[in-house]
Amino acid sequence: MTKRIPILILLFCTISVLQCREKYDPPIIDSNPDFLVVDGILVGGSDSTKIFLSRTRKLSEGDTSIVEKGASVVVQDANGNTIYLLQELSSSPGTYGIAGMDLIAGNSYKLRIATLNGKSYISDPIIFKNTPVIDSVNWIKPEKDVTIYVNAKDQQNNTRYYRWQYEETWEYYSPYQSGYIYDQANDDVLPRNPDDSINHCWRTQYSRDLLIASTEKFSDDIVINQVVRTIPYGAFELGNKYSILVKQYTLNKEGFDYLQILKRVSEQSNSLFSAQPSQLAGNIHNSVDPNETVIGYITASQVSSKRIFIERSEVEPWGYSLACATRFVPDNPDSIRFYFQEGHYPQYIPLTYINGITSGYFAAEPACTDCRILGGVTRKPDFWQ
Amino acid sequence: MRFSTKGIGPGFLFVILQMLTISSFAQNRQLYNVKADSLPFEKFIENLEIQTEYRFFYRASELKDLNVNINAKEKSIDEILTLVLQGSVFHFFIDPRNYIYITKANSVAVNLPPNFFSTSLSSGDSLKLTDIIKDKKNKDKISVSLENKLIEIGSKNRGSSAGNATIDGYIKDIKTGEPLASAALIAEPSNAGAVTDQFGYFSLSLPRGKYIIRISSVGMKNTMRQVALYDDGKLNIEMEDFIPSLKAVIVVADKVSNLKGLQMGMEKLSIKTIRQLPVAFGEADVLRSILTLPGVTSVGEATTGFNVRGGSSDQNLVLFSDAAIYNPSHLFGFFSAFNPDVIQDVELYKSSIPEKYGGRISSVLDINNRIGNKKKITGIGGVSPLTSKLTIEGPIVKDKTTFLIGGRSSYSDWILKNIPNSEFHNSSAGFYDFDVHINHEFDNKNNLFINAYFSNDHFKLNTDTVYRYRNENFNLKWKHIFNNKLNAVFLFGHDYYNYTVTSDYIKEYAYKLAFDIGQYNFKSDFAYIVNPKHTLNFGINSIYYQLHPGSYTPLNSVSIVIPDVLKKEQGLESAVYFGDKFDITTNLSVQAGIRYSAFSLMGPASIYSYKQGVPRTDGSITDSSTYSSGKFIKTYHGAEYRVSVRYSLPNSFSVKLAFNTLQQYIHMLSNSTIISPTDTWKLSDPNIKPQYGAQYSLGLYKNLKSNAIETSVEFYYKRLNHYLDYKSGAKILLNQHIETDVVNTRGYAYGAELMIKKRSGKLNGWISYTYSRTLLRQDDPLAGETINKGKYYPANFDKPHIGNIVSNYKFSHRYSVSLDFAYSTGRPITLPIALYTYSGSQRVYYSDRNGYRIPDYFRADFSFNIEGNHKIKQLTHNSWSMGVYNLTGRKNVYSVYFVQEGSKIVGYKMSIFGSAIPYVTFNFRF
Repeated sequence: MTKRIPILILLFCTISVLQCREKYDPPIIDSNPDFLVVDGILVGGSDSTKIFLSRTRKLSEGDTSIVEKGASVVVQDANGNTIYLLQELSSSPGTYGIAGMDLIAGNSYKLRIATLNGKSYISDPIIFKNTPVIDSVNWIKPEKDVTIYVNAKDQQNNTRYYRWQYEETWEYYSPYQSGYIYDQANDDVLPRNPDDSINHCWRTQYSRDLLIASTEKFSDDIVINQVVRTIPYGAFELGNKYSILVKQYTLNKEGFDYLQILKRVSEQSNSLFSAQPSQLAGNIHNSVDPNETVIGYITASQVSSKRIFIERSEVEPWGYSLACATRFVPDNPDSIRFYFQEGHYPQYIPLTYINGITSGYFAAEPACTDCRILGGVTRKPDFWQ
Repeated sequence: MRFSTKGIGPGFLFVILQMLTISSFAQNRQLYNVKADSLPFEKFIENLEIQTEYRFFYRASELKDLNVNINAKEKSIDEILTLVLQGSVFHFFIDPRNYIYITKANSVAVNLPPNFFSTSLSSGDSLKLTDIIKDKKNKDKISVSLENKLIEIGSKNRGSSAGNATIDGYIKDIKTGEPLASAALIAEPSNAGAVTDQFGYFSLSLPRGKYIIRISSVGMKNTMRQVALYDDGKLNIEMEDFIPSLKAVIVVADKVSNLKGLQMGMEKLSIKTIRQLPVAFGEADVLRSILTLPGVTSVGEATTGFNVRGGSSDQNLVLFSDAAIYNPSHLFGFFSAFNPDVIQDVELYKSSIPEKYGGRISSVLDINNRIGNKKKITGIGGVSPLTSKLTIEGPIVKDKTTFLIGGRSSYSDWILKNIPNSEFHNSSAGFYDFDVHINHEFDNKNNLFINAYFSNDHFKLNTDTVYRYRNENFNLKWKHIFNNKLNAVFLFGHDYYNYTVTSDYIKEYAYKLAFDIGQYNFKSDFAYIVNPKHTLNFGINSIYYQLHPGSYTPLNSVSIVIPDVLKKEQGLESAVYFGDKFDITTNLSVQAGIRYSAFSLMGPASIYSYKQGVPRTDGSITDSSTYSSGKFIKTYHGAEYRVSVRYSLPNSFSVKLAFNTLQQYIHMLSNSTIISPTDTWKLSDPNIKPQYGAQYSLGLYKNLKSNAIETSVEFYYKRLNHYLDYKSGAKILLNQHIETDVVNTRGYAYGAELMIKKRSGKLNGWISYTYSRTLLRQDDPLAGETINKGKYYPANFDKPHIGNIVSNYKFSHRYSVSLDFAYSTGRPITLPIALYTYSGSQRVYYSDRNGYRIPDYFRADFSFNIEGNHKIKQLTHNSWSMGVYNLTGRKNVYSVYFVQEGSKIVGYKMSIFGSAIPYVTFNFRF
C-alpha cells in the first residue's frame, strides 16, 4: 500500500492547488562510519559467484563505490575447512569471483573475508538451497509500456522466498553508417574497414532494484506474474530488438526479511503511514568485535535462468527514434581539420563522400553514427539470436 | 386585595394594552433614582410611598419573603417596578389615581414589557393574568426578581438551626432545557462551592443559614439566588443564554475554577471555543483544537493521533458520550470523527486523572454530547468544502424526552471523480458518521441517556485495494439520585471498531484482511457528599474485551490465498475505585483516590513459552500451552494512586501538587508513527506486560485583574514502563506470536507548561508555551537487538519548544475574527548518514534512531465569523465562517524521505499543506 500513498498527498495537493513535495538537502553530514559492505549470492553449479566488497561513503561522495581491494575471500564448509578461494576480478576491482562451485543443497557453508587492514569477518552458517526452474518469462503491452513478468512455482512448496536478478541486452543501430574514418595522426580521411563498423551494437545492463517475493501466505508455492521490469513507452531498449535473462534464486526467511527492509528503506518513497527507517543486522560479523556493523546478507542457492527476446515489430507502435542531422564538410584540409579533429564539439564523423562540383563528406555527430557512444559494444554476444 | 381572573380573553386584552401603553407614556414621566440592597419589600415600598405620590396596595403576607436589590438611575416608577418584580409571581398595576396594586399570579417567570400594566382599569374590566403569564414569547426571560426572592429550603420550623443541610438540583438552560455541565455555584459568605456534573446536577452541603448563591456557567448570564437553608432540599436553577447587549457586559464564568478546583492539568474547551479556531477544511475539529493546548502535540498534520505529555497516541482514552473510540479520525486524520454540532464540550485530563478513569496511561479526552432541545424541534447544519452535516433535535415528550440526531458525510468521492487527472479516477476516499442521543427524564431523580454512534471510512488509492474502517458505539446510561447526598450513574455499553482491506488486483491473490475489537462496558459511579468537607467518589468498572487480531482470507473461489486467521483474544478488565475530596481548611484541599485494577486474559488461547534469558525469536519457542474457553490464563493487577493537593494563598494565588499512577492492559500495534487504519490492538498476555505510567506534577496559578486573566505554570515528570516498540522489520499483521517482534521500551518525559489566558472581553484567547522532552530507551534483554545500542533516544513526537497563540476579537455580536499562531520544534527523524552500493544500486545507511530533526513548524491561521442577523422571526439563522489556514503559506515539513533516482539518492521533504488554504463554511440553524 505504501507505494500508493503519495498519490493521496498529491490528491490533497491538487485540491488545494499546491506543491507538496520539494527537494531536501539534509544538513551536510561529514561523518563516514566506514562500514564494510558485503554483497552477493553464493551460487552452485556452472554459474559463477560474484561477491562485491565495498565500504560506506559520505553522502556527498556521489555514486562511485569505494571498493575493498586486495581482500582474501574464501568459502568454508560446515567444519571450517576452506573449500573454495575467490579471486579478485581484474576487470572489476572489489569483485571476487569463482565459477563452478560444487555446493550441496541442505549443507551449510560460511564466507570468510580478510581485509587488507587486518580485520577478518565471517558469516553465519548459510544453508545452500535448491531453486526451482522458472516457469515462464513473458511480457505484455496493455497500453503503452511493456511489462515483463516472471512466473515460478515449486511443487514441493519448499522455496517460498524468491529473488530475481536480470541481465538485459538490446541490439541497436546508429542512424547513420560511417564509411570513413578520420586519421588524426595524418590529418586524413580514410575509408573505414568493414570490421571496424561502429553502427551496430549490443548494450547490456544489470538489474538494480531488489526483486523479491514471498509465497508464505499462499497455499501453493506459486509466483504469478511477478513484475521484473517495466520498459516505458518509446524507450531506447526496444528500439530494435531486446532480450532479457531472468535469474531466479531461493532465499531463506531471514535473507528475505533483510532485503525487504532494505528495499523498503531505499526504494519506496515515504508515505503518510511511513515506518521508521531501520537497518537489520546482516549475517556477516567481525570475527573479533561483534559490535562492528557489517552491511549485507549473503544467501546461497542454485540459480535457474530463462531468456526471452522481444522484437520491436512485436511492440509497435513504439515511439523510439533518434533524429539526427547531417552536415556537409567540404573536402579541404581546413574544413576537415575543423570538424573532424578532437576538440571540436561535436566532433563530427564522416559518413560518405560526395564527388561533385564541390566535393566533400556528409558527416554526423558521434551519437548518430557511433553506437558505442550509447553504451554498447560492437561485439555480438554469444547468446544473440 | 385581589383581582378576578375571569373575563376578557387574551386577544382583546392585547388591543387594549396597546392603547393604554401609549397613554401611559404621557402619564409617568417623573424619574427617580433608586438604590436598595437586600431590602425587604415592605421597607422598599414604605420608602417609595414617602418619596413619591404613589400608594401601594398588596397583601403583606405574600410579599414578606421578597427582598429588593436595585440600583437604577432616572427611571420611571413603572420601570422600577418592572425591574423589581419582573418574572416573579407578582405583578403590578398603576391606576390613574396613582394607586399601585401588587398582585400574585399562579405561574412563575414572566417578562412583561415596561409599562405593561401601568395604567388604570377604569373600565372595570378584569384581566386574565394567567394567560398573559403563559404567553410564550415572554417566557424565555429569566426574572431579575427571582434573584431578589428569598428561597426557603426546608421548613423553618423543623429541625435545629445548627449542623449542615444539603441543597441539590439541576442547572439548565432556560431556553432549551439542556442541562449545563460544569456550572459553578459559590455560596456566600461561606465560599463553599460545587460544580455541576455532565448532567447539570449539583449537590452542595452547607451549614444551615442564609446564603447568596452565585451561579456562573460559560456562555450564560450569571445569576444568583438568595437562600435560607433550613433543611435538605431541592433548588433547580435555570440560566439565561448570555446575549450581549450593546452596552459592555463582561461575562465571567469559571473565573476562579482554576484556582479553587483541585484538578491539575485539566483543560476544557467548549464547542464555542472550538468553533472559533480556524481549520483546514472549514469543519470545526475537536482533536485539532486540543492541539492548541499546552502539553499536547502530534507527529504532524495528517494525523489526529495526539500525544499528551510524552505519551504515545494509544495511551489516550478517547471517550465520546462515554464510549471508547478506537479510531478518532476520518480521511487519514484530516477530520476528526466527531460531529461538532452534537458536542457540548471537551475535557482533557493530562495530569491528575480522576480515579473513575483508567485503562490508558497518558490522558483522558472526554467528549460530551449535548442533550436535545427540550422545548421545540430545531436543527443545525453546515456546508463546507469537503463535507456537509445536519443535526436535528427536539422533544419527543415535551420537557421529558429529547432526541438529538446528527449526521455528516463527505463528498470527496465526487471531487475525486471530477479532478482532470486520470490518476485519481480509480481512487475514492470518503466517510460518514451518524449520532443518536436520546435523553429521558423520568422524574427529578431518574434520568436515562441513550447514545449511539456510527462512523465509516473508506478509501482506495488508484489501486484495487480498498481500505475500510468503522466505529460502532452504543450505550445506555442511567443517572439516579438516591437523595441529595448520594447519586450514581450506571452505564452499560458496547464499543466496536474494525477495519478491512480487500484487494482483487490479481484474482488468484485476491484477499481480505480484517481486524476488529469490541468491548462491553459496565460502569457504576457514585458520588456521596458526607459533609461540606468530604465528598466521596467510588464505583466499579468492568470491561470485557473481545478482539480478532487478524484474519487473512481468500476473497473469491479461485484465490490461492491460504486463510490465516489468528485466534480470538478475550480479556476482562475490572477496577474498583474510591476517592475522597477533602477540604481541610478553606485554603487547603486534598483529593486522594485509589483505583485497584485487574486484568485477566481469558481462554481459549494458545500461549507460547520461550527459553529463559535469550532473545525471543521463532527459534526460542520451547512450548505452547492451550487454554480452554473461559479460563483465566494470566491476571495482572495493581493499585493506581491519584493524589492532588491544592493550597490557596492570598491574592488569587494557588499551588497544586499531584501524583498519579496508571496501568494500561491494551496495546496498539503500529509500525508507523501515527494512528493509521491498519493499526491493530493487542491485549496483555503472559508475554506482553501491561504498560505502566507515573506522573508527578506541580502547578502554580495566579489570576490577575479580578480574575479576568489567568496565568499558570505547570511542571511535570513522567515515567513510562513496558511501552511496546518494534524490532526492525517487525511483522505486526497476522503474527501468531507478536512477542518475538516487539521489545519493551521504557521512557521518561518532563516539561514545563506556561499559559496566560483571557477568557472574557472583546479580545480573548490564550498564549501558551511548553518546554518538554520525551526520551525512550530499549534495554529489554529479550529484544535481541536494540535501538541505538540501548541508549536513550527522543520519541517521534519529542518537540522541545512549542508555542501557541489563540486570539479572538469580537467587533460586535455579529462579527468576530480569530488569529492563531502555532510554533514547534521540528520532530525528530532518522537521517541517512552514509551511502553504499548494494545489489547494483546506491543505498543509504541511516543514523541512530531520531538523531536529527525536520525543520521547525510554524503556522498562522485566520478566520472571520459572521453571525446572521438577530431577527427572531426568520426561517433559518445563518452564519458564515471563512478563513485561511496556513496564512503565510509556509511549507511545513511533514516528513523527509530519500529515494534513489537513477544513480543518485535524492532527499525530498513533503508538506501536507503547501500553501495558504482558504475556506468558507456555511452554517444554519432552524
